[in-house]
Amino acid sequence: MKVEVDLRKCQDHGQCVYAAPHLFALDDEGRLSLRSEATDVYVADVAEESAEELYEAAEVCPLQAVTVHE
Amino acid sequence: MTVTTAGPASATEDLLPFRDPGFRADPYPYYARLREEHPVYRHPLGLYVVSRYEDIARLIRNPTLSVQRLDFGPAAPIHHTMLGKDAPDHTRLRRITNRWFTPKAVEEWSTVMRASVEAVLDEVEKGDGTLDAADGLSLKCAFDTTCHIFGIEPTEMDTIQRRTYEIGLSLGPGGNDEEARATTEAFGWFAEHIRRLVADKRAHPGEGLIDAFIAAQDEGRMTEEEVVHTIFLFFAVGHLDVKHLINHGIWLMTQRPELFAAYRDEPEARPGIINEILRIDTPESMVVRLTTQDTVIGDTTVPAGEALALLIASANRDPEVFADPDTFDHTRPLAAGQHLAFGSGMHGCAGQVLARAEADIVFSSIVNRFSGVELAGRPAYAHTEFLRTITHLPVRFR
Repeated sequence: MKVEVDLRKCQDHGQCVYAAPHLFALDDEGRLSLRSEATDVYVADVAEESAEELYEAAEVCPLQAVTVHE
Repeated sequence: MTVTTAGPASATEDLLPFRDPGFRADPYPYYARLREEHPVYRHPLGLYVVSRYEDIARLIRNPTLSVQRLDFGPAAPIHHTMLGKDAPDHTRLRRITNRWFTPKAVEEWSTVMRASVEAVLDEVEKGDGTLDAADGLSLKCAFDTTCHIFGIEPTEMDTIQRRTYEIGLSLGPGGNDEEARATTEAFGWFAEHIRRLVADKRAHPGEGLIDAFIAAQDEGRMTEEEVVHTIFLFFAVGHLDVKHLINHGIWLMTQRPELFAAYRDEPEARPGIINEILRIDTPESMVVRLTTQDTVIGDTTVPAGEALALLIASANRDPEVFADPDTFDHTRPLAAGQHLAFGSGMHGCAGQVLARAEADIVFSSIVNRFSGVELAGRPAYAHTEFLRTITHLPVRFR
């Protein structure tokens, strides 16, 4: 499965970090750390065993910036 | 809030006269001057006021800034809510409520909001088409929805609105003794009212948010004070800011018939219109943080232990980010920058999906049912230095 994060929508609330600490992190400035890897849209493969926390992260994002692709 | 800092203020002239009626009516020219001349301004009250978008967008995400160590003065009970806590307490409280405001949850709350709005507009249509949209529509429907989420009957709406406003008076930096007394009394009223609601829920359990808080308390994840004051917080944010968003949107439609038409004819433009309403007249003007270490803002180094007022309403009018910032333009490119009306970072608004949905339901219902809206009287305002508030909005739907 894949995760897609729309960094144009993301406002660094960090809710995905609490929901899925193995997949998301904040940097020292309080910004989503994967911003260093993409500017507009971040896409990455996610292992099946992380599916549950990934779905929770997508669900709780207040900006609806996280999308899961099966 | 109360600001206690040592040392003299740097400017003798007050560039941000919080209590001045002219400032409260239209603070934007004052903000423009600050951005231009004093982007980090030491206010005579002692706090540092930050007004440029770039600085605010960075600081609002800065994890070294604290809310827990701020002195909220008479609004100190806010420290029992997520608004007044740093990690890890903030994280714990926010996670308990997050699931209640996901897009999926909001779909359910939207059916309640829609039914409430349609019922109000049915009555308007049966009557002469006039309505005080402030209390009769935006407050009523948002309050009905909040109470449904809580799992309670919508009672005490007018008192809750008044008491919330009295607490809001002390959330900005310009409060006086009389306002502090009103705030203390309001917290007392809320604590008593909410303890009654919780006791009633314990006697008659349901499946609402208050039941979830009771369960969290019984499992040791929330204290009783946190339950009481989090319920207060949701009563407050359940109407305060979204009411202004809706009222200001309706007012804009009375001034700009083309906006009414755009909302009706261009569904794809609706999210941009709601964003622009929030940007051009941001419901809460500022967020406040405390520095815990030397913090560099532009040419200024603010030492630890100082209060920072981040003027999000000013950031939203910064011409560096929003071209021609005082003009309403819902077609402005998103790439230029996102407005900061909902804040950002870990304290960013958890209810913004719901707030946007509630506003959309009101605006969509209006444009689908009527052909236009005009003022039926003079609007009345009760703006503070912190909160934009339209108290009366007499309108006529055609």
